[in-house]
Amino acid sequence: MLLYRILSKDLKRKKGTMAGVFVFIMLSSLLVSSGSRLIIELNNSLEHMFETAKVPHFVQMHSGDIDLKKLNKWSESNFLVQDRQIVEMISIDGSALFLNKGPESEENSIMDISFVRQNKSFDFLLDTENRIIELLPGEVAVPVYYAEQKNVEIGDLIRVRSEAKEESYKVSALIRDAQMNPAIVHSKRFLLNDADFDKMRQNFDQLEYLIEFRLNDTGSLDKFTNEYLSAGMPQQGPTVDYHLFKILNSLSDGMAASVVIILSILLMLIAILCLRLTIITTIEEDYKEIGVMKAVGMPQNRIKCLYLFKYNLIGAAAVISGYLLSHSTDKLLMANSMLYIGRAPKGLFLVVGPILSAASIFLFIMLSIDLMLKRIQNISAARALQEGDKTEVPKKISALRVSRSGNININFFLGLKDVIERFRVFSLLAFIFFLSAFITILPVHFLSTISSPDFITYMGIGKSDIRIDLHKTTGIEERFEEMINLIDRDNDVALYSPLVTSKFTVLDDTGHSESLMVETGDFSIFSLDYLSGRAPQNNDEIALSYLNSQELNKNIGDVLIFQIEGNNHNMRVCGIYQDITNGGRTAKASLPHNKDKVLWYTLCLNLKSEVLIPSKVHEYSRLFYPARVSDLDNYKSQTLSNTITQFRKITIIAIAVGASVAMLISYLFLKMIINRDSERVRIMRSLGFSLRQLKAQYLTTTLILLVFGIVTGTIFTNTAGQAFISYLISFLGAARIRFIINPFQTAVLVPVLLISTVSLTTAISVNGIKEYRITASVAE
Amino acid sequence: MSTILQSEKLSKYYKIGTNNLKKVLNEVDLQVERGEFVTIMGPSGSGKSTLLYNISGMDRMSSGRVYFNEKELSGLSEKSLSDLRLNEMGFIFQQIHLLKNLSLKDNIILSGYLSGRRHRKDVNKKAQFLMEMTGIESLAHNDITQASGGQLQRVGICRALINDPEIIFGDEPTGALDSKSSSEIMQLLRTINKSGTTVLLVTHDSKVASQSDRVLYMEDGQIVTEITLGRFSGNKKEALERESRLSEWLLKSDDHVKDAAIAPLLTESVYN
Repeated sequence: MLLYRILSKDLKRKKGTMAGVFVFIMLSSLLVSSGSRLIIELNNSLEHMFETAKVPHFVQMHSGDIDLKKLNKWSESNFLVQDRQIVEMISIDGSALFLNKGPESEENSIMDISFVRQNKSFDFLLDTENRIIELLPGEVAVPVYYAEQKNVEIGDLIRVRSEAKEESYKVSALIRDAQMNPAIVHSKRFLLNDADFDKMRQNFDQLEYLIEFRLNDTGSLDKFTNEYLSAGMPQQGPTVDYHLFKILNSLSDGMAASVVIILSILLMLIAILCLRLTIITTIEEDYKEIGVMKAVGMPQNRIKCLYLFKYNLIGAAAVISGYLLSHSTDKLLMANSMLYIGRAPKGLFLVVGPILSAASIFLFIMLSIDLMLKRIQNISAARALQEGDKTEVPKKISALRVSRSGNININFFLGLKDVIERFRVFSLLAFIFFLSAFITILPVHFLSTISSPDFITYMGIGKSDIRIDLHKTTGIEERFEEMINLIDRDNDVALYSPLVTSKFTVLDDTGHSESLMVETGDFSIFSLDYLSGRAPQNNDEIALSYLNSQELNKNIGDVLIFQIEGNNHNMRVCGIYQDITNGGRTAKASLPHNKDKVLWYTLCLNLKSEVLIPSKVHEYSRLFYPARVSDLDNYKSQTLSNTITQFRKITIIAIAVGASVAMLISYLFLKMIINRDSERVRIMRSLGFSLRQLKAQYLTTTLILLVFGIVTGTIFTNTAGQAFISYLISFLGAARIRFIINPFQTAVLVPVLLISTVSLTTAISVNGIKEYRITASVAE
Repeated sequence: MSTILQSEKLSKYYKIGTNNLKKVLNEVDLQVERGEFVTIMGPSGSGKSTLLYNISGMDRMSSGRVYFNEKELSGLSEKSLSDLRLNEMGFIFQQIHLLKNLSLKDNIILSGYLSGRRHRKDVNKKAQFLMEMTGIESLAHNDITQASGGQLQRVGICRALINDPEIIFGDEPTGALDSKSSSEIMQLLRTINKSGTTVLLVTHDSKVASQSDRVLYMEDGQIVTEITLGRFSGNKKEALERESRLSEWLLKSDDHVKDAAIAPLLTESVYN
């Protein structure tokens, strides 16, 4: 009964604060439950989808003829192989595909589009119910990517136009393609009925193959890959494997889940900070009462229990509410993974995992409260009863004497003096402002970086106006030559550079041969920013992408052995650059290209200043059909559009979180401070300080702390934050991200947002000082 | 002489629960002339301090009017009242109420700097003069923990005087001091009063009250009687005479209160 009375009295006294603490703990519990559920679900669903689709363990993309006899013989003799198949893909150019009713084709799409038929033994294309798709004649199944990006819906008609005629197909399913699902994979497979496939084959002559293997044991994948590549099997195209499929499929959702969990931990820490401030204020307010309780002989533990019970009850209620609410927010978080991957049947761990995560939040909060309440022990009954005063006199700094304030506004001076002399007390608020600034500025910087046209630097591409990609077609070499001749004669072109990407065999340190994708040409024309070193200048030099340099263990000056026409050729590493395309594994050299293993041709060009880029892109698209022509910004935004959209959402959330944190903590902190300062405020008011002037003092204090927080937060973001982002992106191929800062956002938008939020909060929180009158302390 | 402070039917009551009112001041009429030294006496709970804080604008009255220099206080904004306290009034408290985070000198000059009526150099000069006058100049940069009660009260007086107020309000300024310090403080207040500043003190101490020009006696929220003692010369013999005269009057005042039996007030049983 006593507990109930204390609890209800305290809840009434601190309604707003306790509601804030409740909300933060609840959100923390909600996010940790959702985040852990997302991770478990993602893992389960991925396994489920991979099992249903029977994902191949090793895939060699190949353009050109296949020596079937040789391949079959090798495969049959390899005991690692469990199953194999060759998937035929009809490659069509984007300009031949019309997804919507309008005249717009997929001409500008960066996706490699191909049509396939359903496989017979493995690598099945699934529908959104994870069923193997079976189509009737006239029907087509479209990758989920297009449903999300281009709003293609079941029932829509898509058109494929060849030189001979145009065919329409009705969309009857959306494809979950375990291999090519994510937006960052630049190949997409459309599914046709077997008969339609055969018909289309007659109209399009360009075939590509996926040579797929399922192995007895995925553990021996590396061994198999080496054996395949060294046996001279078909390899005109990239090699991908099971691990990569898994990483690519879980990348965006995995990152989202990690962000959610980090956010939850952050919220929990904030809740603990709020609780700390609340508990300190309560104990200071109840200082005398605690003294009396001690004086009448109430055991210390009993007093502590009174408080512990109250806060634990609130914590438990908030954690349970958060957990229950998390069930309703799941759909929101899992929308992406549900669309692309689907859901696996529920397992026990999916129920237990989130409960355990939420329980751990409660446990951590309980332990923290227990620690905070230790300060009850330090209250001496005698002192509390005699003095009734709990504040310490701050250390004075002689330079900050009022008499030395010169002509500085006295309220500003008192605010400044307070910050410096009581910095130990205020450091918590300074830290919170620093944290808020960091939370807000980091995503803003990263967003402006990935949105900037200069982000192309991290895609292993030199800056040019237009990029033309020509993938394997018949007579590709002649077409490329023709293209060069035309561009050379085009008066609108200021500068151009032809580049050819082909595969070379290199020997690693142990003497094993590996295949390396090398872009060859003159790299001095459209220069690239190198992490270290420079562009290759002669036949004996090679620049490696960051991930290749890591995997091959080669640094500047090291030698890489190339096997060219049976002879070993030493290539010295002259530069390392960042590249998040092609799995981050690329290289650049000034060698003549390997004619037998050409992957694609590229031509970069700059136009004369008066020429409009879009019209030239359009002109070249028609002229060089089926080559893909895009301006670099379009190329970049198409590749990263999904990431940028996702990140914009995260940035908005982060700004809201940062501002809310600054608001809530400064509210609670100032409440505690004005409670401590009640005596000082009373005296100042009696001396003639107006409420406005006293508020100005507190505002000065908080704004000085905020400016300190913003400055340190910005410095930290630009150093440690940048390093942190670089570390994360290094797994994708860019190891040294330099923020491309938008000065308006960093120097104006974020500071103004935080300053106005904190100023408003300060004005509201210190409003309570109007209750402090000198008459209250001398009331008869 | 002109009137500096005047109250008409000044009342102050607090709400207790939903229906009950606790009446602390009941229609008090008071008039203080410029340059006067007035003390208010009365038993604990009689409303002395409440009267002091209401007529000085430190607290808001419930009803009635208070005029300070012909300005009606209830009509003034919070800002104007603050300005009034800062520039035209000085306060001395029993608990002194100095700011812990400032040195003794800083406590004195703070109001001077805030006021801005004088150049800060002149404020410093004035503070130096006041500290010399009160004998605490050597303590200028000390903390408040490094001074005795008497010394702190002198700081309080210097602070009250820094902006040359027209009136000094004192709430038991000698209440926490020993007799020596107490008489030194009173001597100071008399000196200040002689220079033209009006002084209005609340006190329990008849020795303190006997040094004032006029003594008002409060009981149950009303001024029930008063005595005019006239100017005090500071002579020891005169001091003894004034004290005994006041004591006799106080005894009479008690009888008078009992006889008068202020019926309406006493029925307010919530007030004690």
